[in-house]
Amino acid sequence: MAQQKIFGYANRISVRPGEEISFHVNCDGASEAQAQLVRLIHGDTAEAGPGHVEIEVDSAVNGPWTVKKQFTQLGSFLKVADPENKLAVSGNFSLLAFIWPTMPQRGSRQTILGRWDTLRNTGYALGINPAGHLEFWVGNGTEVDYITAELPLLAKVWYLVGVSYDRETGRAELYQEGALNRYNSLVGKVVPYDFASHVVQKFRFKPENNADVPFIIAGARDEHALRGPFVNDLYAGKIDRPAICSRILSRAEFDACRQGGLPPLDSVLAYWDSSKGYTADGISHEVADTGPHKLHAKGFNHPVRAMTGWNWNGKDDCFRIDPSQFGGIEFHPDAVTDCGWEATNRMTVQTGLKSGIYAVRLRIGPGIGIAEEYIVFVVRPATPTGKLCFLVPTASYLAYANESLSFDAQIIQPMTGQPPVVTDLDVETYEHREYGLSTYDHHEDDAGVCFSSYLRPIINMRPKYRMSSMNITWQFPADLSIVAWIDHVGYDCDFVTDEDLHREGVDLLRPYLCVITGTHPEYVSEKMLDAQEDYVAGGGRLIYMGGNGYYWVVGFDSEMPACMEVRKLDSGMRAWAAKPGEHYLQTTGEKSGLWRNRGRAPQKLTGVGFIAEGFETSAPYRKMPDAWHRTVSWITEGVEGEVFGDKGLAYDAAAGVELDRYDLSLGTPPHTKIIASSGGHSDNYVLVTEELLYAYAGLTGSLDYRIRADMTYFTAPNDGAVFSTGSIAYGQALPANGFNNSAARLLANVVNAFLKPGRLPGGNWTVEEKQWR
Amino acid sequence: MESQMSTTDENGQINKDDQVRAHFDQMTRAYLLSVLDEELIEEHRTGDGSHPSEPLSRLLAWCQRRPLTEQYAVKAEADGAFRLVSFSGQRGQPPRYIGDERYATLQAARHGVFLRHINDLTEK
Repeated sequence: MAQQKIFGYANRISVRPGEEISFHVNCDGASEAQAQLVRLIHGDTAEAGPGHVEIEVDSAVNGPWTVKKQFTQLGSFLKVADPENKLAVSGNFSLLAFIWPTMPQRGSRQTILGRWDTLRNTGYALGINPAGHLEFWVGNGTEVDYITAELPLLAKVWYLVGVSYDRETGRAELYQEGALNRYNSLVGKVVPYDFASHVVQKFRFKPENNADVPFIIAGARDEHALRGPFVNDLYAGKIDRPAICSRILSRAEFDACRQGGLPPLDSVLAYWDSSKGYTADGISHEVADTGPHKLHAKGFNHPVRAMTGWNWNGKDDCFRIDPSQFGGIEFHPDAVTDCGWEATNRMTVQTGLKSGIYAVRLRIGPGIGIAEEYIVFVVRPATPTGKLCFLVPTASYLAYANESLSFDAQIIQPMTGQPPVVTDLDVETYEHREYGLSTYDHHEDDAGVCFSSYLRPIINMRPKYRMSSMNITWQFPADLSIVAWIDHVGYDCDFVTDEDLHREGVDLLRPYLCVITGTHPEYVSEKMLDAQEDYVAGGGRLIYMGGNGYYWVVGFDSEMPACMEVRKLDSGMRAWAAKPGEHYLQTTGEKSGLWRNRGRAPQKLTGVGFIAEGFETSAPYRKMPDAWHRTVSWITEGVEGEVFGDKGLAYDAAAGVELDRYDLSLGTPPHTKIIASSGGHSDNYVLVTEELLYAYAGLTGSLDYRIRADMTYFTAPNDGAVFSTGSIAYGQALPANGFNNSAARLLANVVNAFLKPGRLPGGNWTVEEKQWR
Repeated sequence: MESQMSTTDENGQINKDDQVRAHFDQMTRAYLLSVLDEELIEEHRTGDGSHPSEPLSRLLAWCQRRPLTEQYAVKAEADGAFRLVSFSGQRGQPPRYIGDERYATLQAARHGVFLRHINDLTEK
């Protein structure tokens, strides 16, 4: 019997009562799964806490589900809309494109462009053969003819490649010339490589063009008995301005294109001008054909745009300055942003269902490990009813979705200071890799992953999951510790997501007296940041429960809101670095990277910002002098002694993992109080790179006083306020000792105060406070 | 047991940086062998990982910075035991088990990883 495993996703991450949500499941080794709707309360199985806690909920979806094997289309590519089969060329033709291949020696065939059927060997295509050479081939269903360049293509070098084909005589001429300038390629002109290859060959066979074969850029049609048609022979690298012409182009005409000229207009069948379509707000997935038939191409699995093209001059760093230099579209054979599975079941969320974090729990066979799946979603209120609002940081969940750092990143063990602890689930998803990567991973060709979506199973957005490299809960399951505490205390709380906030802005938060965040709300769009700033300025109370929050600039795809984009660049603790000229989001046109580098350091909203990260150990907080100040002494009321937060599920204390610091130079409001601070962290805690001007020895926990978590508080206009813990581990400290601990006690003081309308405790001293003493 | 395999770039060119790394590694090993003793191993076995002695921190830094294929990890088994694995370094290739030993606690397994590194250090 096949190994039993089950994975799934939902089409929505946030849903209201009365709305429908669909579930998409892939299952091996079983045809039926047992489904149960559950409300998730706690997801950390560490012994120091309450363990995994869920509440089964009555629902029409409970019971057996018929499940089956579903297939995932991996790889990004462009499919051309050609309903009249204009590209089923019956005469002579030429193909051409600028290319920047990243893995020419990948060992498998890669199709650059063409109308090729891999199963039936029909059609024509220009591509790269498994040995890394440019190749053109035609097939008639029984025989295939090839013409191959003499020299292999070099990785990360721009070329103009093409072929002209005379159907009558069978003559095919291959064109390959380097298109390097001083900036656009990995190497420059001092390298004595030979880039050019021109080969002529006479084909014996003529291409047969079947009507059902699409013209594809960066892939070719294939078919499998079980899964049906799919795209295979995927290409890795960039393609710029591909074209097909209806006659033989001469060497001189190819050369003219290499100098920046257009293909002869009288010959163009289709010219996909990949530099067209840019606006100040980015670019869509459609690549315009400026030729006579307007055979536009559509991207699948998010081919990366806003990338430098063959003619990038190294000076203009953004497509907004000169789009014509940004025609490069980058393709990755391992990209997936939408599994596209059939819906297995649907559910209309029942009226009256309490707002919260829910999942459909699916079990087959033994019902543990990879035979158990939780498809997680948030039920937001039909109308706001609670006083407290938990802002579920779904953008950050996407950023880490399916990260595989333990397996692929040599750097992770030096970072975490410990060997990873992997499980069967980690090994299974690493081995099969059909559910895509996180923005902490690299594609197969070493390019950083800039898109992540929830239209695919996300193995680390489920309860009980522990991040293997750190052996603690992280993001979603860590945030459940805050959820459990809210449930334990009994606060009337509504749950909304980053996606809701991005779409609806401050109106989403305005009904609430207090908004509380997750442990690590690191990825934030401009609309999300604006909404939270306006909420606080308008009198809202924000509790920032994390560390390293409000850090990366992200965008959401307006055509597919389930998909988020980030580019990592310049500075910051980052898993990869975007290449020069590729720092702007295709989804919004904004410069990505750190909010700090765009004039909006997190300190301006929360009082604190990222200063250090470390693993293996956490530390308690120590009260700072402000803790006794008469305007804020209520915060630590009932918290005995100077030291608190000395228990927790993330390395045994409340200050740890990623830490934030008060910094007036980065915009911490001047009247901010430091209630408490940690310190004396281990040397596994290191200063963040964005703090570095010159590096010097000893920028570590036991030597640098800046490495600490600051717990801060400040008041805002209209009785608003912000309280920050400055530590990821604080949320995981709340359930320790049956929720009876100093970190939980202190947080309750803050939440209780924030949930009372009107003046805040200590407010009588406002005048004095305004003197910023 | 250890092999210093050469890496190559995208075009199949040998990365000569490996030769320099190997030379640095040789110097590091010489120092680590000069300070390695039972006391250091015992410090790792009983320590909490927060503030190790300088020799132990340097030894741990060497263990953790080795190439991916020379690093070890712990596999948490479904039955609650822990085993040691090493990484393939090849995308999509799963890790392989190292030895047959099953550890009852994570701390013991992590010390087992440490002893594997010590074994690699002393055998070369």
